[in-house]
Amino acid sequence: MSNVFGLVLNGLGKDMSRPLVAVKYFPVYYSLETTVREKCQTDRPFTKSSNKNALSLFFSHTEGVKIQENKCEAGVLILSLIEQAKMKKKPPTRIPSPPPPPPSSSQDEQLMMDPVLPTDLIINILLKLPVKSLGKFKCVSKQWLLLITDPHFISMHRELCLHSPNLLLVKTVPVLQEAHTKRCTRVDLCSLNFDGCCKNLDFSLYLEDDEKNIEMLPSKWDLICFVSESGFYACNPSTQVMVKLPEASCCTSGEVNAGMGYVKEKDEYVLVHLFDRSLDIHVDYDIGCEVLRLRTGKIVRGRW
Amino acid sequence: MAPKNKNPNGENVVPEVQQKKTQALILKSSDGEEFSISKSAAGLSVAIKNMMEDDCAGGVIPLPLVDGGTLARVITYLNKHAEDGASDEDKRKFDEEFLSGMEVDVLCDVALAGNYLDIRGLFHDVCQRIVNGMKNKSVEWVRKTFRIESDFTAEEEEQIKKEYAWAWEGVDSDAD
Repeated sequence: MSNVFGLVLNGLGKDMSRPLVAVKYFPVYYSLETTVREKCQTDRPFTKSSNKNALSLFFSHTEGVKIQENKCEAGVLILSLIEQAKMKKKPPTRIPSPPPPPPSSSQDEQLMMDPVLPTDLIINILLKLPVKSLGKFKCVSKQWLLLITDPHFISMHRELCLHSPNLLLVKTVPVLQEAHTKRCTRVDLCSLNFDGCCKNLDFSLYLEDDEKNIEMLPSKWDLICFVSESGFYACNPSTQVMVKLPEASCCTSGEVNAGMGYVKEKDEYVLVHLFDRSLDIHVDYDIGCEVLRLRTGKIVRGRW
Repeated sequence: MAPKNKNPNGENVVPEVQQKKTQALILKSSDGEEFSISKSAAGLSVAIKNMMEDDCAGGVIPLPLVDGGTLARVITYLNKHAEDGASDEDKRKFDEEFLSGMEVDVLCDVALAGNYLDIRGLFHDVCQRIVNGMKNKSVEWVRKTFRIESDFTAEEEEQIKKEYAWAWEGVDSDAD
């Protein structure tokens, strides 16, 4: 006995020939950075008010620069790199004489001859890599780690990924646990491209619930949302992370009416939950509505 | 002169067009090799096209950031893409063959040249090729191939590995 759901992420895109994984980021990605940061044992005060602070602080440990400066650097890093690249590409204006000096030629020539790839090429390559490879290649060097965890890079990567959507298959399978009385369900997630020929990810998550009660909510973008008796869960298939969301109001009729969306302008995921709050069976319906907003790994306001 | 070659003013039209098409530019690589390329093919490079539009493309164009071997490859690519009869399918097939024989370091050189000369299609195809080759490789392979030295301590590296343990599944052998 198993339930199979099908879900199309992001609708059908134009370019289906791309062999790469349509990888998506989940805000939890950021929280993971925070976790690492916390293990860095800092004596600097850490404010939870802004996630950017967390990232900046994290960089500050790896790069040994002040928070304030770094906060700025992290944001403009890629932009300045792009500027540099443009400078480099600017063609010589007068030919043939005098010998056209490409801007800061000696340095650039060295960069070209140097076996190490120039940063703008590294960024272009990293942007095309799936999240799984990025997770692995964070270990390559501090520079790569810095590039991969940069918020601008993350949003650029997400934008690019939206052009190559994938099919996600979700299956729930009951797990027999003799020692425990608790029921447990395995949720298998598998992602394919539209040709069906390239399997991008395949992994399982576990929920301590009866599989009959697990439902997948209408979800779009890079997060998928599950609901079970124990509450709401958000999952990012790309990073294989699942988080339990704050407890929602109780629905007296026992049905779940909820859906998740994304507000691009605010960079927020929004989970809307409609519930019946009528206690009297003679009253037809008394519908309540609550909204949970998630942004960069955090729940805005911390509650519904 | 055949009348069909004349415009209403009686000027000769066709030869002028032909001349424009076959007109050649000379590109000079960093190691001094010179290559002749038709203007129509060279125009696929936005950088060279801008130079031609600004009328700076007379004589020899020096490309101090591109070596001869790489420039020869880039010119092969441009010639194919400027070919009159070539359909998109032809070009796609050509690209596939053109890139499949290249080693990673050659691909990197071509990517850099594509970026420098602003040939978007070439640049993206080559980057994609590099990505396809490296996405399942180990960190050690990447470091070796791109000549990057790790500046992490063993503890730091271990910490990052733990964070994304699943990303380390299914890594290809470095020998591939």
